Amino acid sequence: MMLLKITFSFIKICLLAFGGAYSAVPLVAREIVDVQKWMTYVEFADLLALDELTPGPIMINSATFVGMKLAGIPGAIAASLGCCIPPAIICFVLDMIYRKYREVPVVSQILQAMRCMSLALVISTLISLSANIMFHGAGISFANLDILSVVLAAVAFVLIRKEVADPIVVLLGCGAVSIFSSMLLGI
Amino acid sequence: MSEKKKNRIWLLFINIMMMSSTANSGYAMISVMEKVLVKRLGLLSEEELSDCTAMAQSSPGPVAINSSCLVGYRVAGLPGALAAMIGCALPPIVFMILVTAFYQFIVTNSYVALFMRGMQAGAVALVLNFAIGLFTGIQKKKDLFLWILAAISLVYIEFTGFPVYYLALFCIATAVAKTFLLKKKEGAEK
Repeated sequence: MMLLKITFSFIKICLLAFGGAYSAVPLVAREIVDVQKWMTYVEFADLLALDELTPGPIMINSATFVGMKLAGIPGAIAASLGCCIPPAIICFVLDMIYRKYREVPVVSQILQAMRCMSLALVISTLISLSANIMFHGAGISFANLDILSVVLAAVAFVLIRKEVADPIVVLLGCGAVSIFSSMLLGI
Repeated sequence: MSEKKKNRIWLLFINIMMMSSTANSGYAMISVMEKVLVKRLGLLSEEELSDCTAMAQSSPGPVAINSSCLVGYRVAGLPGALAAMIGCALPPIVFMILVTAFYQFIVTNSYVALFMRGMQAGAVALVLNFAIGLFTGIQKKKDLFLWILAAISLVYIEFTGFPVYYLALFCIATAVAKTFLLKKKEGAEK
């Protein structure tokens, strides 16, 4: 019963979350903490920290975390399925409609309009992400600036943009540089 | 299933799994897909990928799952879609189960924290790269209407707390209105 309840909660969260991670965080908080009372806000903060530590979309991460806490590994899998399968099916159906009617002018106009929205969403994600990582989420001022992160991001950007190295290699390299610079230079 | 198709599915599955194990957001993942699936492996065209990502973002749920699923379908039909979805979902689920189980150790280990700090900086670069890609895509259309829509969307997202699906509905409505206005104009010119 509990497994079904967890799955259903995450289906609800994921079907309401348009536009990726930053729209999902408030939805997860509302459903899991306020409505279902499965965890406290302090535990929710743990979840956000763990999300930073692990790869993958925050929706899947939070589903796995909540499921794992409530019902162990079966719970983690039930919750994750709830947040992957229904959205995938909906996306699939929308895509089929799109492929069938792509020559109709209104469909291509809608898709173009959606790209504008996604540009806005990406810029917004970029702003929150940079504020969190380069200024430690503590307000934008020179004192809070994490110089190493800025340098790493700039170098990584050039390497990815100029296609010097594979993005995955660049990301892992950034992690390695971060450890070495802390050990050797103390920053 | 032919040998060739099987190979394509395996190639897709392994690459998506690698991406999903390193990228920490859907947007970062799309940016890697462009480099690996389009440019290096040639599994699908740039145009196809951009259709997939636009669709993945305008439907609900995790962008990474949606886009993997659509990309998989274009590369190898329904089995491809399934393989891509599993490849995308498996690493975060496994990592998160492990991380939750060893939570105390991980949050207190300073090497893990340092490594993550570096990867996060790299993630900013990935997202910036993706934003530039979208930006140039819109620029190519040379249409003032699209820029206005993008600006309105950004203001809406940054300064109001309203859910994004109202914005999605608004974008659809303006696109429909624009199509009808264009048709009317063409009719008048004839």
